[in-house]
Amino acid sequence: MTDFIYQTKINFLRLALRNKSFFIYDVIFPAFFYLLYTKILPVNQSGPLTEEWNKEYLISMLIFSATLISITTFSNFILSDKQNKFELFVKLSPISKIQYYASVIVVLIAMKLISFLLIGLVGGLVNSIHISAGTWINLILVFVIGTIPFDILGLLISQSGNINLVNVLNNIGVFLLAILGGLWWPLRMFPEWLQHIGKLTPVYQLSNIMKSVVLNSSFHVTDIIGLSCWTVAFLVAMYLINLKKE
Amino acid sequence: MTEILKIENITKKYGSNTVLKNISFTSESGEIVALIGENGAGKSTLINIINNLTERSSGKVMIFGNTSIKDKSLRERIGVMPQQDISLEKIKVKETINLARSYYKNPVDYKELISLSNLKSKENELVTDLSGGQKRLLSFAVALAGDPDLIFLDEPTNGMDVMNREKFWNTVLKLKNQGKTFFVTSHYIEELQNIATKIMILQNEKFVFQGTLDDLRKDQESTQIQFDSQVNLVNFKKIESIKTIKQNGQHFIITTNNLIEFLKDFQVFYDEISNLSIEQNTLETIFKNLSKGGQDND
Repeated sequence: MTDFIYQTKINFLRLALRNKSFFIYDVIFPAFFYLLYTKILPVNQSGPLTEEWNKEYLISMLIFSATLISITTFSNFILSDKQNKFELFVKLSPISKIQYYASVIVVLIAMKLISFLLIGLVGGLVNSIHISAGTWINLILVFVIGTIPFDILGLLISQSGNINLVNVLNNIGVFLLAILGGLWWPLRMFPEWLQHIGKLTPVYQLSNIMKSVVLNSSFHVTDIIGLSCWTVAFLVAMYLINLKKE
Repeated sequence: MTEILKIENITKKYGSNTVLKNISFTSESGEIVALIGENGAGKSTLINIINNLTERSSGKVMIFGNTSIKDKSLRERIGVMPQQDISLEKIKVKETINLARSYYKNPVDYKELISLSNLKSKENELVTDLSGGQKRLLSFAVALAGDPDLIFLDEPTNGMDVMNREKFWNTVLKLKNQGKTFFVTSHYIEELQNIATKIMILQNEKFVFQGTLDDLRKDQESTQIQFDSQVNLVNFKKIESIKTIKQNGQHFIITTNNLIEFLKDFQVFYDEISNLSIEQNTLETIFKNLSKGGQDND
């Protein structure tokens, strides 16, 4: 166990504490967007609708941050380890690939919690968002579990093995999902046919679940089913790619 | 001495291209086995096959009497210093060594590893800031982290300066005397001849030689004799112990694998020669000769 703890500590240093882009892109960038769309652009607005918008947009930016961590940061990390021969290092050692990935997943969860805390603090301090402790805990749980499909998607993207292709897929994965899923602008602003597509994305489904938690409203089971299907689909794709490689 | 490694009839094909054909050998504890071959001969492929990094087309690999290196517990006893360095980003030398140690049940003490790798002054530096030679030393420390019995060194001294290379090989010899087995490939053939207990030369998909350096010298043209003389070439050709003879004007180059016999037969010409030099072939010269596939013979 001590070994796993040390391995996780080193991965945390590599992925988060010594990685400037984690703080700049994965945390500050979504936090800035949150401030832009809740404080800077809306002028002299207040009231229940504004508070609802501040909460909903907080959820959107939390999910946006999670996609940046799970897809961009994670896929680049895995690819970098492959190119730097760390994957070879693990292959030649007694530890299993599962132990290696498990330690990275623990770090990813920690990074997502850090971004959740920091962006949540911005929301709480800047917009005085009122959310009960119990709701925060539920949000965190849903957030950690609900972003698992994005972790798998990040791992999938890293399998392409080519840094240029990974960057292209990351941009498509993160920004297209963010736009289509209604993270940056509400889905109702898009044409109806695009709204239908957006509602099928895992980002939209997770966003719906988390918004219903924070607004204390009921959520649709279809969103949970949808997220689960995406998770299974990404896992199957991962399995098939590994099979083909072997 | 215990048998550590047994390779039986390993063949590797890439499509219709055969890289290795019916390769067989054994290694025992406390050996330093040098694998020599030209670029592309299949040396790294063989190491990768033994370490299950590349699939073999046919044949058997037995390490410590076990045919399945997929058994991760076997990895506790094997160390590998690959040809390409592990160059992790955002991690220090000390952290890399301790990370490697954390993968093994009975790792070598950190102080010993940092001393063996001669990187004490660099322990708090980032791995990416190391020079090429220093990265090789770090890879060596990582290969030794689990206190392995069998260690593969693939081109270990590439990029190392002279001082570090000498220290490196002294460390290898010290560990060999403790009973560890090394399997080494290197382009610096002159380094290998001083330490290898067994030499294997890979050429044209197979081993063209397996044995000690002395066996190799007996087997190949081992000594070169050069001199100047006005004596006719035909007279020298009568000496039976001559393997090959080349003439360039009045300068002669003779090779023999039996120097003592040659000198006995050659003494009748001592008054008729000048500028005599005798040079025992190095491993590098023997290898070059093998690669050329024979000597000129006038």
